Amino acid sequence: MDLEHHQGGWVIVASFILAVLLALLPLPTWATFWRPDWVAMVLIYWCIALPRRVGVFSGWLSGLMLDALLGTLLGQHALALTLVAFLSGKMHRRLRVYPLRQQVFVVFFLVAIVHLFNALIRHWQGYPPPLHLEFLYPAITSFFLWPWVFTSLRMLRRGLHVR
Amino acid sequence: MVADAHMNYLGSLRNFSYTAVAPLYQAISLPIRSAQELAQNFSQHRLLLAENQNLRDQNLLLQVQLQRLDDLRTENRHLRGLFGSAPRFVEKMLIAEVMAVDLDPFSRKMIINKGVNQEVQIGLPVFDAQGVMGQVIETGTVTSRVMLITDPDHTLPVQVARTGLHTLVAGTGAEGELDLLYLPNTAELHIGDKLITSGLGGRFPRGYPVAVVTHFKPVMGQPYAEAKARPSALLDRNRDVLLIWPLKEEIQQPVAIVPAEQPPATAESTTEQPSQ
Repeated sequence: MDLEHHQGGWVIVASFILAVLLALLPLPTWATFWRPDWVAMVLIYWCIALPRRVGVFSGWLSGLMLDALLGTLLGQHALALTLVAFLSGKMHRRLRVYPLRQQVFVVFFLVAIVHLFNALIRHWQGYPPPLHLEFLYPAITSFFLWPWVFTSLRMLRRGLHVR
Repeated sequence: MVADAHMNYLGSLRNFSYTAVAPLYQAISLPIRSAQELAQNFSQHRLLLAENQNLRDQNLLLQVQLQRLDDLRTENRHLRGLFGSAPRFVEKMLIAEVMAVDLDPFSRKMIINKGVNQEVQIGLPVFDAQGVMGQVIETGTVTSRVMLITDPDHTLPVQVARTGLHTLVAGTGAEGELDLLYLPNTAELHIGDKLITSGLGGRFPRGYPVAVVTHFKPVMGQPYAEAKARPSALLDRNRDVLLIWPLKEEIQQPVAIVPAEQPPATAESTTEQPSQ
């Protein structure tokens, strides 16, 4: 089987679009700060599973899309997700063999980087400082949701022969 | 990012990307709105009747007030005729619906379902039944992004309805809290005072309610007092909003009810543009 024989790219695109839609899904006010970072999780998964297909550029593109949708500065999410894609692509060999309970900590760390970076940009823009550690809540919810995201995306990838 | 924050030439790129991704708003908003509508269709007959009755009562009240308005309008025209000033015309209005979409939870913005196709332009003020909500900052073909007055990037020149004192109302990023800027410690201000748009700055037509003062504390040793207000509009609970195209003639004349002894404080009200 040819290593460079790609197929099932639409599954990747569809999963990203679904993640972006989940990022826009209206939630009650108290829950908005707890919204898991779907886009970052999907990005991390594909960077681990198919590092040859999904990498820094996909991270940048999905981040730019998120910026345009959320109304944040153009490039804010793009830069953060580029960093996440780079790190998870760099670590993909190790991450693949980690058991899930070890992976969740890495995911927590990566999502925390995204939100720490966003908080820093907001601070530079002159927004009032966030109360407590609100910007880390998405990392906590992503921590708990990662096993489900990982197993369902893996089933999807295997079932639809994405490679 | 720095270019986007500090310069204006990314505006067209921003607008393009906004228009390109706008269909995703429809994709997420449509099913949710239709589900809500479906739920409404199955809502109880009794509830609908009660709501109908409520609306009838409200309508009656408004009708009565409208009769007064007719009288006042005639009187106003008469007085304006005496002063020799040009009559004002009815403003153009449009009702828009807030789309069921969540944006960045730290800023205060929302998406409405009217865009360039409905002649919405950047800077257009947005209102609800209770007062000023914000202004349009980005336009797509059939959607646009509105910055609420509580957004930390938003500042709006207002005046106190009772005394005519001018001040600026700035968003804090918190849901129901606005800061009043550059108020002298000796300012004549009470809790419960209503703030209305002053028309300075040229974006908002004058005379619309903006906020109610909730906190005023002179800080000795500081040049300005500490004051806070609560927005009159129901910023986070609205589904329908009103777009009003202000009249050129109206926004160019600031209100002239400032008492003579009041210094024209805070004339630096050019900060009305959001710093985007």
